[in-house]
Amino acid sequence: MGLIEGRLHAGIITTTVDTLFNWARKNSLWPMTFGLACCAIEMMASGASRFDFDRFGVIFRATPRQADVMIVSGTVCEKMAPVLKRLYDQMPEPKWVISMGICSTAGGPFPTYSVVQGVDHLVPVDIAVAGCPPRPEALMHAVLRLQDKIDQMSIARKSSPRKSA
Amino acid sequence: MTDEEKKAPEGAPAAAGAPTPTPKPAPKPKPPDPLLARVESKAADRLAEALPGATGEPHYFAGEVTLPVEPSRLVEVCRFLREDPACAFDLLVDITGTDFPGEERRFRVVYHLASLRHVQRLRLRTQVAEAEDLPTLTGVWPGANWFEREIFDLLGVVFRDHPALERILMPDDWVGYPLRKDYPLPGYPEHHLRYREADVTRRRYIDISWQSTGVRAAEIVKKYKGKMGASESAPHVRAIPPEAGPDETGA
Repeated sequence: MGLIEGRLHAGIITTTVDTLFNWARKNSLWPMTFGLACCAIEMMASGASRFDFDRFGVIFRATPRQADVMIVSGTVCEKMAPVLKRLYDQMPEPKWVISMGICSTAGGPFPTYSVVQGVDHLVPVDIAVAGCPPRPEALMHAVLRLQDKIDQMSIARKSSPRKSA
Repeated sequence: MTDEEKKAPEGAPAAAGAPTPTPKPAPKPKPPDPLLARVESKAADRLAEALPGATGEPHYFAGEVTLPVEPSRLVEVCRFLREDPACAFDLLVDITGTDFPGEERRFRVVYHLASLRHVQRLRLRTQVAEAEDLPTLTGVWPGANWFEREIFDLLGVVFRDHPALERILMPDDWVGYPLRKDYPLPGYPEHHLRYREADVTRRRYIDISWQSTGVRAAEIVKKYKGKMGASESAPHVRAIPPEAGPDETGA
């Protein structure tokens, strides 16, 4: 990243490169598992044979350095928050975050002192999945919507920085 | 006891209106309430015999014995309970704490003991005020270490001579004691601010808790003083930007 991003104006080159990059990125989304509570069970079920996330190129990695997307599945406690933030920072760009379940999305049934009221206080969330916990189909839907989002990415230069420069 | 209760409401109207009351049977001795029955506790008897006056009146409930103990005699009693062969409470199952804000000594700390040798259990209950402290039991049962840290963490009860009295569940730099009754359930929003202020777009944040794992809270405050833009009086508390008015800490 950074070598060609934001250098070219939108045109035939950028759209061609975008097509290639986005195709590659969206079809090999390697998530870093961040199982914190019962949502992690559903996340594991999603990866297992019945739902088989491997079909989408989603292969769970146990390290942030090989991951593209972080699936925060479960209640994020205050004490876990700096750990989560650190692991997110260790992921290489480009990176995305799926907030799985109502706990990580907004605190869920724990409006308490010890629970972070939404993981978006810590990291930018791309997709929030409703449910307590969400079914694997819901997580699958989130992955597919994230693929749609990745499909919209572009390396082309945005118009606003050009004006200021 | 159930028979007694059934008879009482029937007996009252009969005595008021009926002209021919049946002769009252002699009051039968009330069968002991099985919940409140005094249970055999060799340990409690042995303790009362060996250390008279060390414990208060035993409390019996549901087949369990609870002995009130004064903090000043706690270590002595516990050491006896562990080392006396007739008691041999070799297992400290748990230490729990409860807050009773209305009472003069607001914290009740309860020790749950078990003897694997004699298959018996005993509960010791002590009470301590906010300004007082309790002696540590780590010298008697090493397993008391983390239990006491937990009670210190969540209730703020100080255990004298504890080898490492630090927070165990909450972050090291946490302010306040969450299980006290006067602690609001959602906590104080300013205590969460160090995370909420994290600038996620530029991926910059103040990483306090991670680096300070295992460091005492006071040292953290010292270490990060001035770096956090916090006031001197309350280094953990940061002003709420931007809608908040003047900084309540007076910085």
